[in-house]
Amino acid sequence: MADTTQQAIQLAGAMVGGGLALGGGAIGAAIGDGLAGSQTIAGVARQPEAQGRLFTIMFIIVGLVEAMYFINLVFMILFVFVLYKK
Amino acid sequence: MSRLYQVGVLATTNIPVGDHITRKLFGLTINLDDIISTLVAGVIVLGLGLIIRVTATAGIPGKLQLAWETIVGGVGDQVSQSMGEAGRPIVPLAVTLFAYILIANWLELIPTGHDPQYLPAPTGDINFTAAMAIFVIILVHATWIRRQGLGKYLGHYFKPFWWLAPINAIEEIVKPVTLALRLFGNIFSGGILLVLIADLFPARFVVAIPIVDVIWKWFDGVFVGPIQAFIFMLLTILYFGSAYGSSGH
Repeated sequence: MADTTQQAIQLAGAMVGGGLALGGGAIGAAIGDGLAGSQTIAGVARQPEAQGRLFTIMFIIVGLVEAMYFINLVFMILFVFVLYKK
Repeated sequence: MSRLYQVGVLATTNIPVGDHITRKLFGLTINLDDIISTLVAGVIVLGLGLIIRVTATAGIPGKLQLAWETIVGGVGDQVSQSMGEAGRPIVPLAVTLFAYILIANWLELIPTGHDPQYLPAPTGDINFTAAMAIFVIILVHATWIRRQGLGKYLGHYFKPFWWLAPINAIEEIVKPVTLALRLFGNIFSGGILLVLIADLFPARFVVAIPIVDVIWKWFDGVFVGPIQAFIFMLLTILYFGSAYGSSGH
């Protein structure tokens, strides 16, 4: 009895931890991408001929911001699939 | 039981996360399919380079020559912008990194087989990305010490304020970690999503699987692959820039 309870608690803990990691990562990545995009739009509105260079910088920033999300994803995989053992 | 619950249980217990075809060598386990993909990607990049060396003309360039000229010119501009003219020796390393990681990411798009794919993207394996990140960081630190001397290298840890030394040390340790994990996370999650697409459609919607597959592979190949290769190369150039000293800016 105590063994299945312990397994249930471990499973619940692993799932909730993974969910929190993914949720926080998604919120952070979305806000970061939105900030980068809004500054790009403001820059292009002010100076339309700088569009090419601003797009390049925006993609660089998007790549770096998404990296935080994917590092969170790696930790979610660690919690759910590796640390929780049957 | 509702279908969603079945799918949820299926997803957490049956998805092969990080499954590889393995062999044992000297007591260590190696991922054979990743090593084969690494060699295939290397052969492709070397082959393209050797072809352009043979067929480069000063006349009207062919498509391959145009592609290589765009890449080398773009990387050269990036290096001059970040490091000044002293950074010329870094351009071959940067072009190699970009082309190799790009071809390695594009190997994911070829459908070659069953549950662990026969030719997975080698950048979806943490061993490969960690090895490249360690290689780049050791090269950066060795170049730093060789160009600026051991005294200045140790001194840079205390640079803005002396009490920031632990934070600078942590930053230097974190650089290869984020370099490896960023590339690994992006490409690995692409592969996981392919498995999920195959798993999450009920039996009567089986026709939708290849369509969604192709849509995701289009997004992966056009955006994620090239952007991550570019960011790996750009961060390498920036780390070498700080190793060469902030004189040329």
